[in-house]
Order: sequence, then C-alpha cells, then structure tokens
Amino acid sequence: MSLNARALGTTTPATPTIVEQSRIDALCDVVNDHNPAFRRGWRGGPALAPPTFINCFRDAKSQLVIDTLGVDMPRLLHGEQTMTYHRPIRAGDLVFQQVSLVEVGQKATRAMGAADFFKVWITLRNDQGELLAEAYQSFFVRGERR
Amino acid sequence: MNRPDPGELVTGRPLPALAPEVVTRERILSYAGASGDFNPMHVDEVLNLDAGGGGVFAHGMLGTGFLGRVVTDHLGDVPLASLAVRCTKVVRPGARLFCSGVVQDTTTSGRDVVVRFGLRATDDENDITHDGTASVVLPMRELDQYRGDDLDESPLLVRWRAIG
Repeated sequence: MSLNARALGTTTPATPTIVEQSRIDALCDVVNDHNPAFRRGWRGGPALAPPTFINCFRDAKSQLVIDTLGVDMPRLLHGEQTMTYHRPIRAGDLVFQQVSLVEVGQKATRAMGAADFFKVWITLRNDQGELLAEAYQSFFVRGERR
Repeated sequence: MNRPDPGELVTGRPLPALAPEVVTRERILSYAGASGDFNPMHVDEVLNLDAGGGGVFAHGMLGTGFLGRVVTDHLGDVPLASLAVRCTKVVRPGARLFCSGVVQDTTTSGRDVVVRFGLRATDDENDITHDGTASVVLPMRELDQYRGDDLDESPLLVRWRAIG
C-alpha cells in the first residue's frame, strides 16, 4: 500500500478561519448558484454559506492528506462525500475546522481493481465548540501506471 | 422567498431539472480557485497525461454543487439538513451535466417532516456521473402556531427557524 497506515486516527489541530463573503461568491459563481440566501445583503444580514462550502476549508485537510498520509496528489480520486448540516454558517463567522483520518486501507473498485482507500471526517465548529457542519469524504489512490 | 408546502413534496414527484451545466476547462480552473483544490489532475494537463489520467477532469465536488442546487433552487432559503453524493464517472472538459432530482420519501420526526430527495447527474452519454441524496426538514404547521415548549421538543425545527 502506498499510504502510511500508521496515520490512521490522526486528527489535525482545530484551524480557525473567517468565512469570507468573497469566497462564498466565488463558489456560487462557479456552480451557477443565484440563490439570494447565499448572497450579500440577504435579509439585511450576513449571507449563508452554500451546502458545498465545507469543501472550501482545505488547509488542515491538505496537510493531513499530503504530509501525514503520504498521498501522491496526481493519483488521488474523490469517491464519495456525506455532508450533514447542524447549524447555519454565515459570512463573517469564525469557524474552526478539524480533520480526522478515520479509515485507511484497500478496496475493490470497478474501474481500477484493488485500490488504496481512505476516509476523512471534517468538522466545522463555532468558538463555543458547537458542531456547525460535518462531512465524511472518501478517496481512492490509483496505483502506479504500468 | 418561496416556502414549500410539505404536502407538495410527495414520494415520486420530480424536482425541476437544472438547465444543462457545461463543464469547461475554465470552469474547472475556477472551481480550483474557489475551493482551493489545485490537485494537478484537475488543472495541469501535462502532469495529468504523464500520470496516466487521460487528461484533466472536473473536481467531484463541482457536480456535487450542482446536485445541491437541484434542491436549493427549488426550496429557496430552506437549508439542507444533509447532502450525500457519490462520484461514479469522471467528467472531462466539454461535458454537459444534466442534473435532476425526485422526492424519495418523507418521514415525520416529532412535529417536523424530513423530506429526502434522490439526486443524479448524467453526461452526454447518459452515464451517471454523480448519484446521491439530500434531505431537508420542514415544519408541518405554520411557525407562528408553535408555542415555546414545542420548540424545545423540536430541535430540527429550531434549526430551520434560526435560519428562516
């Protein structure tokens, strides 16, 4: 296996990030989302972050996946994601992102045969420690090219 | 904004399909910038070909964003409770994605209704590229009919109300 199996169970420190409206705008622009709830000035207050915004917090995840797990980025394929939303995330909020490596192993795949596999659990919390949103994301790592 | 009537969301009823979304190279790069995911397989054609990737392809989360929209475009400012998507085929530049959804089931949870949608994106070959579900929580009655003690019993509704 190309992955560092001993990395299983690793959790990153909580990384603080301010939710910027400009980053929400950039995501909405590229997915063609014109929902006013995600845009500046919604109901005179801060806009909501759209459902896939949780994927825009990356610093902790990249560090875990590349440095600790040893993934060669060109071989990485995104398999599945399950996102659950507990409390609204709004522009201007201070959120704390944390990523844990919850599975590392091999799985049979249709397209690639047996492939290395891992799953991360991402949490976003507020400064009270309350869970705002969480996501499980699973990835495959392709083998060496023959 | 529109507030859906849970009575309209019956099992089997389709949501309005999105207009086809064209996945261009520029759009893949824009998604890389928006998400911060600059994995070279998505943005570097030379490195991708060298690694045997067959050319750059879109981030799985780009199509996932479209599938979220199938629900949120229809329900307005009702927030999703969950979104779960499996990426089943890579999407290459030039592909069009056809994104649709259907009411899969509704269940009651206390005084709330949980509506689950089946979601799917297909490409020009009619192959499924993304397959998943989303759920929302809707109050069964008008919000102002709730008394304070109802809110304590219904944390899901409180979430909805906190946003709405």
